[in-house]
Amino acid sequence: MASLTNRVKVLEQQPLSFMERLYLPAIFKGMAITFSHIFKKKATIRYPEEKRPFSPVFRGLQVLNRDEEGRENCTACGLCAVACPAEAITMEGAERQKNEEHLYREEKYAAKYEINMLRCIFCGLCEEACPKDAIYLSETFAPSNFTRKSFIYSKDELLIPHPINDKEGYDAARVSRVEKLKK
Amino acid sequence: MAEEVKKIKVTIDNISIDVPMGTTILQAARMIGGDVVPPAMCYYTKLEGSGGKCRTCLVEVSKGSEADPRPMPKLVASCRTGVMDGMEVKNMTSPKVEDARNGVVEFLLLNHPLDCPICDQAGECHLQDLGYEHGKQGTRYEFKRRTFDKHDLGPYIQLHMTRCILCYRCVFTADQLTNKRVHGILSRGDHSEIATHIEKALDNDFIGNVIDVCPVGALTDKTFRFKNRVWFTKPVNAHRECKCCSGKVTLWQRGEEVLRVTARKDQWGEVEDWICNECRFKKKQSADWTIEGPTHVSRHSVISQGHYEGMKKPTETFSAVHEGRKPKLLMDIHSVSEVNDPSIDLSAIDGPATSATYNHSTKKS
Amino acid sequence: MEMLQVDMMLILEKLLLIGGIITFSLVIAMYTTYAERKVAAVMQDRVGPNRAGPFGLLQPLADGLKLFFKEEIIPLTSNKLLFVMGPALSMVTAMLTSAVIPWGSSIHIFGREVSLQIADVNIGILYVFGVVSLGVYGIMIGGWSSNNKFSLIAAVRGASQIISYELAMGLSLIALLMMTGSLSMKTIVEQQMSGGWGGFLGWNVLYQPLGFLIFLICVFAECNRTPFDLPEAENELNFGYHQEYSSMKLGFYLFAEYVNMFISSAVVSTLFFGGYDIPFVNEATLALSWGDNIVAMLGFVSLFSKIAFFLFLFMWVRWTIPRFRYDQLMDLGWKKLIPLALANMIITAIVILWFNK
Repeated sequence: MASLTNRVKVLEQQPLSFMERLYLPAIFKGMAITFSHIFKKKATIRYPEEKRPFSPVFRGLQVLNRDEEGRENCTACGLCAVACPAEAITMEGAERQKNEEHLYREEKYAAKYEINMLRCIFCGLCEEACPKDAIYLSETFAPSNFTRKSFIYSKDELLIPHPINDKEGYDAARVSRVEKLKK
Repeated sequence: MAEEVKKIKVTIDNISIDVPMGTTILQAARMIGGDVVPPAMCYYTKLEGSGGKCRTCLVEVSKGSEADPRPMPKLVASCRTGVMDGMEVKNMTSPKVEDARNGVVEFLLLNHPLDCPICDQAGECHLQDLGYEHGKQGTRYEFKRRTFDKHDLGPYIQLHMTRCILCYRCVFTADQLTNKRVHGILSRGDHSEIATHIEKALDNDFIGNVIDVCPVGALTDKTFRFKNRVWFTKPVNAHRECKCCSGKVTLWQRGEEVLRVTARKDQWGEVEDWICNECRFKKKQSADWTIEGPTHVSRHSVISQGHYEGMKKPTETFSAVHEGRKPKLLMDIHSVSEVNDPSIDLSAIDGPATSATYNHSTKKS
Repeated sequence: MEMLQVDMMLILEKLLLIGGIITFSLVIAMYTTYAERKVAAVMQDRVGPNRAGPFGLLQPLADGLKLFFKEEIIPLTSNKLLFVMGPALSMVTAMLTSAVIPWGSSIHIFGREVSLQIADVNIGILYVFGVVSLGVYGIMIGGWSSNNKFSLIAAVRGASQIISYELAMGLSLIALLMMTGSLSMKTIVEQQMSGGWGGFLGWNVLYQPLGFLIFLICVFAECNRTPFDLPEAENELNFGYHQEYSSMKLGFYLFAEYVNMFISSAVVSTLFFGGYDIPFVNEATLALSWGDNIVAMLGFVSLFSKIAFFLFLFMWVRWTIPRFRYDQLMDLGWKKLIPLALANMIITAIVILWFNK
């Protein structure tokens, strides 16, 4: 049969020689390899004590952002919810009243905002869809829990701490990822 | 028909069609359909005198007519230009048109606040579609966008003047559907604004139709304000016996709740039958309506993401298999989730939900 | 009546020894599981169990505890009696072999000379063979009574494998026995101790290298260890004969494997590596200065380090070499090892005759 390309390499398979048929040299070679691995550096990271540094593109738990004055960015536009492939996000919008200007940045805001962490696949599409820089994925895990209930995160759990009232918490939550997004 | 209407031949983007005398290029293009139809922001078939203002429907006429084959020197507004026998028009095949339309879109968006995330029109906004197809990434405008003092147009209609593109459709609607127009364009040039003279509420029986004709989010339904995004609501065709209008509407539902009622729209986004304020604003219960079925939504629209059309709800087989036993629900989602709280009926609230709406319910639970 | 004069002290001493050795082998087997996991881990650049206790030293206890608390499942279609007997038999036969292994020379306590061997049977090796061949019943009974195709196939595989390799094992030992002229394990050890260089030159492995190799391979096969672990082949037979077992019954099977490994290592060390002989040291002269008991203990330590080495070898091989195919296994056993063992036997016989002439 004519070969399809000129890169065909015909392998000549010779019968095993006597030494090869003994298999013992090959076995000893293999054992030498495994033995040498005893002294190699271990790849294991002992998790709770040691932590692997997160990659800058790591996508963890969602955080709802506030601006410098501590007003919520989210306007309940629903783009995150429509972008979400797992349909994990739900929300309800409301109109900002006269005395609520210090709470919400725009005239519409998310009165209710929920992410079902059991559904969330941490794909980051909500972050990409958000036109208001209101949601981003932080570098933390969603903590494990015993009840399904506790995995439905409402605004209380998701909102970033207030930048003026709780400066420390805000700075801690504002990880390098936000810094990078700001640029 | 005693009188035979004379048919003339017009070619748009190399597609020929015979149309009666007096047809505009835009109407001829719509007869062909598809991609050759120029977009229109101000022209409205059912409103006499509309068109010629927004310039989005500009086309190139490469051959005036059989009698006078010279091309027209400038791009013409297809909605106001009648066809001639043997006319050849270029719409999508002309780079000039493409370029001009990009410019028009840039101008329309010059003062537009781009607040789509909070705008209730988002998802069915013609300006959004136009910007998506022809818009540039950024604007070259360096000045502050114009702002206006807020005008209250009454309990039903919300005006966002910053979003207005001055298409005059609402003015024509008020002129042609109601006895007395109380709103119009005030001031001139950059200061032009839709307003009533010394605040008056728009309260005519048919004035709600200005919401439907508005191509942008300048006039929106106050009873639907901020209640949901249009693409999360389910559009269904419904009708009811109405004394003053056809009663044929589209309901925008969430579950059984009727969040919004609009007139039915055709494929060009134009209202099929005008509806009255009672149908539009007062009948917010499924029981008020006879539901016909899901409205056809173009698959290019974000509203189609719900896939309601042709959807078959699977039958619950559990009780059939388990000798009539009902499935035992282990968790009621409402016991966990605060969203879609059954104790809050959004459709029953007149205006937008506020913090009071939700605080009230949390106290109750 | 004099015949029935029983030395109560002897019984007590033997009972203590039996109890000691059984406890000892169980503890060793327990920690062999730990060692197995550690060795596997370090050979794969991992760390291995390190959570239970310091360095994970309590891991075997945790594993055992877990097995105890697992649900006990006996399949409905199984033969209940045999199903329970299987693992018990495995365990018993694994433990029985330790009776004839000399764990050290004798020690002197309270004026009595106590031999560190439960029974110095003069047919020790025959006894080992006898008991080991019983071990296959544990697998057979377990696999058959599970009433499961995979288990049955595994059991049949195990049985034919053990029978095939026992032949070569026996033949390789005959050559050794021709040299020693004795079937008693103690005698064999003492013969090796009398060699030059403090006993090192007397080690049988120096005279019977081929015999040792064949014996070692057969021991691997007898213990069902990789590359001969076909009866439990995880990926093709779904854990083989102990597929249906759960809880501590499964634990017994797994445990028996490690006890077997330990005892086999002890047998190999005893027969070929001088048993409790300390190489390059003349025990007799050392005993004069240090005392008998200390030397006996040192001898035991020596034996134990040899056993430890073989246990490591078992694991080392397991994490290096892939499993045989069944036909390859049979091919190796019948067409390679048995002829080789026969040849070894004949050569040994000729050499012995030559020197004796």
